[in-house]
Amino acid sequence: MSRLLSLGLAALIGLSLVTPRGWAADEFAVDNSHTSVIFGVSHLGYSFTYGRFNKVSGAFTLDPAGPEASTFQLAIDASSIDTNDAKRDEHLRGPDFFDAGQFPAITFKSTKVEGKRTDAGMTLLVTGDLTMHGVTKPVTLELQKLGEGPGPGGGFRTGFNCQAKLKRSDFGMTNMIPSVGDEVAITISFEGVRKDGGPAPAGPAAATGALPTTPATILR
Amino acid sequence: MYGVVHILLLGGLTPMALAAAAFGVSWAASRRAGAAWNAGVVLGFAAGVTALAARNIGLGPALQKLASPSMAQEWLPIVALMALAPSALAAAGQRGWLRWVVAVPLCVATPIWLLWGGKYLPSQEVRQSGFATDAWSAPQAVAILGGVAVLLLVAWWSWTAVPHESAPRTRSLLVVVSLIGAAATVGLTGTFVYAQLCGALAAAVGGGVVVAWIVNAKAGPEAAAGPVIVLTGALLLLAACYSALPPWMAIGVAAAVVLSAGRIPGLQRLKPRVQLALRTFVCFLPLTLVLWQAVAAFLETQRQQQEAAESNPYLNL
Repeated sequence: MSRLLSLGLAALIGLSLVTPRGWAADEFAVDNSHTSVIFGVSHLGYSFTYGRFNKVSGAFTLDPAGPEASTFQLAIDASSIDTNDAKRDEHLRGPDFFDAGQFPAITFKSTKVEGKRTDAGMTLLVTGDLTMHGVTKPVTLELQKLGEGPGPGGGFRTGFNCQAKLKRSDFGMTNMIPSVGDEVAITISFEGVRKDGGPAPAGPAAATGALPTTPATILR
Repeated sequence: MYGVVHILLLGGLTPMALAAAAFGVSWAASRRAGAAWNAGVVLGFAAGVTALAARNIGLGPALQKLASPSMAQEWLPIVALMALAPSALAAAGQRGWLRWVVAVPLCVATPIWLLWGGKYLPSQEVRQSGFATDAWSAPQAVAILGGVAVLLLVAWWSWTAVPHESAPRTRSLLVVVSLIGAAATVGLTGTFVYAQLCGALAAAVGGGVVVAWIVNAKAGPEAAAGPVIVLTGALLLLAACYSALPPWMAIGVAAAVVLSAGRIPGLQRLKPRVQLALRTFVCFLPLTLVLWQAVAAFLETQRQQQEAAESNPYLNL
């Protein structure tokens, strides 16, 4: 009996050694330079105005054993909004819209992750709390894993893309509706660098997804 | 055009009517100008805030926000309510100094409460995300918030130190004009939200002015010094910190509001007509200067935008 137990224990230890990085989840830091948060909103129903947030930080963990154990955390500097018009950006930062002085960060914190494999590759359904303009609402983002592998300067990278649609009025941003549309289409593409900088796990280096559509396509 | 009329009705007429009604009821019940002015200003302003919020989110949620505020500006009706306490305490205790026992902590706490969690006094979460680049250092925060508290207290004292019977109608009108000037300045420098709230405060005071004239109350808005001064100070502070109102403009507008009804040393010794002219002059001087600059800056922005639009080389093809 004791021999059997020893054998089992040895097998477990052996397994943990051959499995890359053991059973621990991989921790990633979001790379701001290769992260884009872009949005599109209707202007008077005549056109879409696009903008982006230039400062993003965050971290995520990916558990190779089970995506359910993965976590995502993203913070966006609300004052880094950029719509290619300085005067409009100033107004958007102000109390009539994002109120970036009072609510400097837009944050997302996952509460539940589900994994599913599709033709386009690995997809994660990430449910979490989105806090914007001082209001917290649960949202579900469909993260499409675009690829993973070593970066040019070393370190292991993995990247995701997601598109979503939300109503700004749900977050208390009610000014100038409907002149400036209530529905806002968002595309977030982000890349994370694994914190220990270790080698890529065995398997295909990259699973490339299709080029994302524009926010306007989502609104239609 | 319809939107502007709608906002004027909600943010102007509603607080004015409610303030007049509250003033009238309170006057009928107590015959005390202080109680009537305070009731009118606080209820009128709260009605204006609720009406403006209801325009966007409906009456139910707007009333709910009145009870459970989250944004800084949503706290203002509660701040106004708390600003009633010093006068009430002083009146109940028959001792003027009791007012300051409550007024001092209120003037210290209000700016901290309104700015807490924002870019100058950020939360731990914002600091961790690396976006707290504008955060004040501890000495900076003490100096700025202390300075704001001192200014609020000086303004409050100035309003309570003026003799009530000294031209209350003129002072009432000057306060309304100064608050409308504050609303225009805040709006021209970048934010409709705070401008509308300044307008609601002006309308609430205006409602009180109308009824005070009708019932011949021998006091002006200085009888509601606490709510008017704290609300004006809070709105200008928010506009300066979270919008693009330059601090010198905020101080200029604040000076106009304080001088419109506050104590001006040596004024009592002059003839009534000279008093009136001098008060109007010292009130309008900073207000005109600030408004002129705000209008000029606004027109310059419009000109630049027009110029940029006309610089399109495809325009004349």
